[in-house]
Amino acid sequence: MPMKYKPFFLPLGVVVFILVVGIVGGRYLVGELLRSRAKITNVNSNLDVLEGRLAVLRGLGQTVETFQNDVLYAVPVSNPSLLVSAQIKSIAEAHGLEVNDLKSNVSSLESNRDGLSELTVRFTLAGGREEISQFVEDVTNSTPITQFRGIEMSVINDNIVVGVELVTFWEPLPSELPSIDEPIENLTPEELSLLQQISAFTKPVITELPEAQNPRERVDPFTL
Amino acid sequence: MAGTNKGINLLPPDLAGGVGGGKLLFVARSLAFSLSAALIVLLTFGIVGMYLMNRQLTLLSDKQTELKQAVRSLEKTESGMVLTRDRLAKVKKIIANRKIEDRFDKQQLIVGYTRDNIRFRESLLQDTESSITFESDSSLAVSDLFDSFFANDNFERLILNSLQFSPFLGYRFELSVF
Repeated sequence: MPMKYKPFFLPLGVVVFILVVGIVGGRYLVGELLRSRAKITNVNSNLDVLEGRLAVLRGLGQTVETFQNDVLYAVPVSNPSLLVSAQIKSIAEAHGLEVNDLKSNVSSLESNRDGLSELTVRFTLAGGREEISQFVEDVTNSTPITQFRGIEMSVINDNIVVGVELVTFWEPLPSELPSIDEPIENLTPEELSLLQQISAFTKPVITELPEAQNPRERVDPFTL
Repeated sequence: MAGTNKGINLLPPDLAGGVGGGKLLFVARSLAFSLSAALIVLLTFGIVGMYLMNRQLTLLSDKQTELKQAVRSLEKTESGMVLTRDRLAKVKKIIANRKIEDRFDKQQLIVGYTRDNIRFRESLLQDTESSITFESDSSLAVSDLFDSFFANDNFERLILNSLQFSPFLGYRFELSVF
């Protein structure tokens, strides 16, 4: 190579070096900057979700306990056979009606498509027409929530005898909470209005069933 | 003499290639210098930008951790809300599917229209059936009752299933109410 090109080596070398460093380093830097930007956007949207979630939860505060109790009266966590029987008897008694042949049985071992287990309750009532009408209305507006499946009324000796079949429901508590990164929304006006409706329903006369006691070893009464 | 000076060139090396070569070398050096300066500036901006972004990211992450902790401390409220919403959706469906209760109310409405000379006998309410039977000694009372049905729109369907007459029992009629 002729000597006259030798002075160009350094500047051209620098140009090539800078171009290489510029392209490689520049791509890396731009990539990093874009990644950081994306992370910031992601964290920001996550923060919005968390702030929204926190606002909703703080807004609910202690009222959620009342809501929780109301919905658990409506759909208990376990078989409400005793609660419903007591409720039916109590409402019938309040209207001077006579309840007979009260039987309840679990409709199916499997829960229905909404995940609810069903309990069928059958009984007969005897009394006046007005009282029976009030009874049906009061049972409709009481918890545990029920659905009538059949009402058969007939007049026998100036007295109305009614055969009733109704179902009531229960379901275990939900086992999962939604992911912390998912947004949650406050209860809608429609949900709040339904809650208000349920809270006005007559609560079961017995709200808590006594815990079954474990069998204890019988103490020898003859030991002195 | 002229022959002995032929290989000696006293010009500086950058001008060794002549005036054209010198200019080219100047351009090359300027380019190298400008590119170096630009690279330094860009690198500086890039590094400062990265630092600032990382700092922002750290601050945001700290805030995120703080918020997550606050949300977790309200887990009981959240589980109560999830339970409430879940149960409400089911209660809504149960209430929406209460057909018999609605038909019972409609039957009671019919009973409300009856006068003393019309007697309620029986009624049957099932998933697909809703019938109510009355007895009366007076055809006029029966006619008045039917007239009162025409005057109101509380019933989706009201069908006269049967109408019997016997001299001893009077009129007996069955209505399907929906």
